[in-house]
Amino acid sequence: MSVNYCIMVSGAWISLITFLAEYFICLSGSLVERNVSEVDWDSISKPPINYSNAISERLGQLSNRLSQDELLTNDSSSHETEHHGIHVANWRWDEIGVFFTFAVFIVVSGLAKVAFHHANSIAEHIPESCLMIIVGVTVGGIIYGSGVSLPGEKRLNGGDNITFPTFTPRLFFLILLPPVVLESSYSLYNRAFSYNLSTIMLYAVVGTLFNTFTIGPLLFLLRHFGLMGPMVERLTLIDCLVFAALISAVDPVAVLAIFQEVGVNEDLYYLLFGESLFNDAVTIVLYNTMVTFCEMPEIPVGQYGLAILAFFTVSCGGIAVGAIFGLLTALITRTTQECRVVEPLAVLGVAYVSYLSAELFHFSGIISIIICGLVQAHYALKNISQKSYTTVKYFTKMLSSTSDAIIFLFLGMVLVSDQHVWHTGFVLWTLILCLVCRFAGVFLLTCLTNKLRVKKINIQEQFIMAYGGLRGAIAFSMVETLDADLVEPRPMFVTTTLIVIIFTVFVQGSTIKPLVALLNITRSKSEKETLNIEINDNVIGTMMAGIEEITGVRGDFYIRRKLEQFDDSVLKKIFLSPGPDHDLTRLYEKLSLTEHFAHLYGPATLIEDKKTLLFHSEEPDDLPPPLSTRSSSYRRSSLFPGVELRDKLKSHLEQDKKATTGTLRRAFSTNAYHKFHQRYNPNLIDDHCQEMRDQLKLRHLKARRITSMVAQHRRMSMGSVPSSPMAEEFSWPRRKIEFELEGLYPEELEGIDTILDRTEQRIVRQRSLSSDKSLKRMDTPTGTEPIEGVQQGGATQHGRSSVPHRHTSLRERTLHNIAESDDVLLDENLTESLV
Amino acid sequence: MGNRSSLLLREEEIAQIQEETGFTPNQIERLYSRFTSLDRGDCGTLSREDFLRIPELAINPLGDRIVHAFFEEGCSDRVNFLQFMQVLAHFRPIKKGRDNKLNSREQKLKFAFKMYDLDNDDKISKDELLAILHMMVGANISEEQLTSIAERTILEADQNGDQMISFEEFCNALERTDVEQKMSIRFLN
Repeated sequence: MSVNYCIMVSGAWISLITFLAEYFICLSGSLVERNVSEVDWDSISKPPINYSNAISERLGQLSNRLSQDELLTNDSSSHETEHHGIHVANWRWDEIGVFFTFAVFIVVSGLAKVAFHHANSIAEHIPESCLMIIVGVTVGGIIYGSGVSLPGEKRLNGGDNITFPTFTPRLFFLILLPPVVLESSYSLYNRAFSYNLSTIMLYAVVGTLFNTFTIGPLLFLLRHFGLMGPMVERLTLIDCLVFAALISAVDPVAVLAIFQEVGVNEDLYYLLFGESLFNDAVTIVLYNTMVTFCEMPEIPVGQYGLAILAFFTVSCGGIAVGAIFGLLTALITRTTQECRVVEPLAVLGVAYVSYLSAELFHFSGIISIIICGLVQAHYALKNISQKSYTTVKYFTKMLSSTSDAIIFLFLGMVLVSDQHVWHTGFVLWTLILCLVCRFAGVFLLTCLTNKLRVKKINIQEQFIMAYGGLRGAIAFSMVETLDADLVEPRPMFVTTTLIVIIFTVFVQGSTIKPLVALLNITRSKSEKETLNIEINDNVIGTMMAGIEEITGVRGDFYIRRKLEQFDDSVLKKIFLSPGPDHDLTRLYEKLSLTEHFAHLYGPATLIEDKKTLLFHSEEPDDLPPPLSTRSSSYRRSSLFPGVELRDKLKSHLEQDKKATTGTLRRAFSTNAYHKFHQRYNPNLIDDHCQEMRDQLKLRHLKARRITSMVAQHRRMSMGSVPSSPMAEEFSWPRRKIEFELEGLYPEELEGIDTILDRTEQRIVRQRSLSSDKSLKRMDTPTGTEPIEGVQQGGATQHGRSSVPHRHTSLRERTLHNIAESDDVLLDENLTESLV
Repeated sequence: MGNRSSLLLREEEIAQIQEETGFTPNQIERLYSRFTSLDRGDCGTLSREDFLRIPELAINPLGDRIVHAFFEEGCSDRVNFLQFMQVLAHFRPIKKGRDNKLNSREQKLKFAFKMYDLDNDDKISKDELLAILHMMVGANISEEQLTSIAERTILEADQNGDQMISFEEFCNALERTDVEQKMSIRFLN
């Protein structure tokens, strides 16, 4: 968020300064009541009033020169509208217009996104990308109808200064695409991805080649034998191959947009998504090669070899650039301990630089930024502070979802144009061939890879893989960059590409979800991290490396282990900031904190959710007897709400097990760190729950509220007046959390008893610690615990003046419990939330 | 090499091993050639030293435990080829329809469990876990941290409250991991 904030603040400052400057100029101009254009340079030597005139004139000249430049670069019919006068109000569309329309455009696309998520019935059935295209078509239609020209068409009917943002390959490749890929590369940092890497590469390289070299020649043959119907354009084999090269690549943006919502199992997701990302290098090379072949009258054999070589430079160059910049980020973030603000900028900026530098050398920018993102996730993101991490996460998420929306909006807009050349035969055959070749390619390659894979890809998954091969904006940008002089049927290619994109996104995209359900594809499971699993993964990995040694065949495990060893012993020492940061320790700290707070506040949270039942539907005879007549056991239970409520909760649990499922889940299985990646959450709903600290704070607040409620309840039962400061806390808005039923295991429900028992034990221990104090209170009727609870609530509100003894001990214990964690920040926060 | 070893291995032996372990004859021959190359003394059996002569295995933190797993069954000092193959059979990928008792999920887990179970009492105690953690992470984590990690790990898996992890508890703790995939290697034909 800090970057966001910085930009906002700096933006506000700049505009404020600009405004003041202009105001000053206008004011000074009107003071002397003289036209600036009449001021000659001699006036500089004149008295102070004229001095301001000189400044204003200089500024005026400067702005004139600027606007002249603007006009020149725009090379529109520049009619000189300069007149050197003071303008109290000015209309500067020429300078601001482009940026203004862009900004408004972004805002509008954001609003459209919001609108979709309020129209639940539509959003459930149609993917967002489709809706964005529809909006794009509407916007395009309006623009077309109003006769405003798009930049691409400007040279045709020139003289129009109003520009509207539209799809250009430059804009797409240099601005819109990088954030989407960067965000996805962070999500690729995952075990499932590395396990499937070889298969992904096979699909990305061989699959794309297969598609290109089946679709292209088949299209040519169909045309040759006249199966496409009459066609005006000349269609050569090379033309067909150019077209096939750009149409056969699966598009990461489209795949991401559809499959994030579907929620298939990890393996399938990474296979498909990884393929769409890594086929970039192949596509670039194929496309460039084919375009070059177009230019040549005859093709020397050596060119084929060069094309293959080009593939390696493009992909390896991308990897190298990405790795270098990723490691650079790690080095930068090692030095930012004293200057945390720079961290998000370093991470995001360097990632973008890596993309651009790869593009500079015509390497694959996508591959470069993926590798950069992966390396960053491995080193840099562990170096930066928690807040910077959140910023990076949030900012990339925001950028990528905005870019995503804009890309589809643009795609919809370019549909409305009068330059389309429709050829039914060509469009239909392309659609059919795209589908058929995709299926054939996937099935063939899976046959191959299944022989080598330990975990086979079953036929249903193969079907989804083939069916999910969506085409998107990359194909369109490529067809846009085609030169109409070289490739004659370019307009037809553009139209057909658009149709293929629309078909895959609309028809395939919206039917994938039902198909996944129909084919019984295993959905993504929410995996709970445990120490057992983490340790065992390590042990098994090491063990398997040993077994491989015994069998004498060095395979994946050996390579992985060697890499890990190298990483641990060399790379991590260089690129990670020093400190005890073994993965195991991290996980341990995370888990013990979560559990600790679940123990502390879990029962209270449970009870809180049932508060209507516990506090309102109670019968009067259930109320605790007066203080003096209570037995010691009852006294204990009523002094400490957890115990008293526990009995009630138990009976309640027996009454309706179903209703408690959700509550229990809330208390125990909400792991703040997992939620983020578990569920498709494009709009970051409930993000505050995803931050551990906020969540803990919320829990603490709840727990405190319970204490005060119990206190109030007891006071009321004792006939005293309820305290008013509490009322404010009661109205604390309940947060709405959505939970899916998947991922809850029945055995987790049994844990409640142990936790409640432990809570009781702790309370008993605390009770014994502060027994003297409490006993003293027993004698005096007014100085009882409940009142202390109330005081505590009030005290916290009015500036934490007094800390009750009970809470101090609790705090000490808490701090003791997490003494293993050396994260100072956490400690601070803990203290803060507990005090 | 391959020819020589196939000569040494008789048809009925191959058939017997195939029956027991589920390896294909080709895989058996391949592994037999590996076996003989490990067998420096040419006595048809392997000693612990034979195993530990593999350089990568010697520096593997769990090398000792892995070798130990080979000697568990017969309690002797040497393993013959059949025993060798029986242990390796644990790591064959699971295929639907072709059941084999050696490479089932439970057997794989059992093998992993034995890595931890240093004293063979079918329970993982805190000390055993700590020892394994020591082997795995070395000096990267401080002693106190390792102890608390071990304690927590046991607490996490322990269901009956005896501060030990039994095999059942071990299986339950790893219920959701893909052991079938992680503990399988491709044996070349």
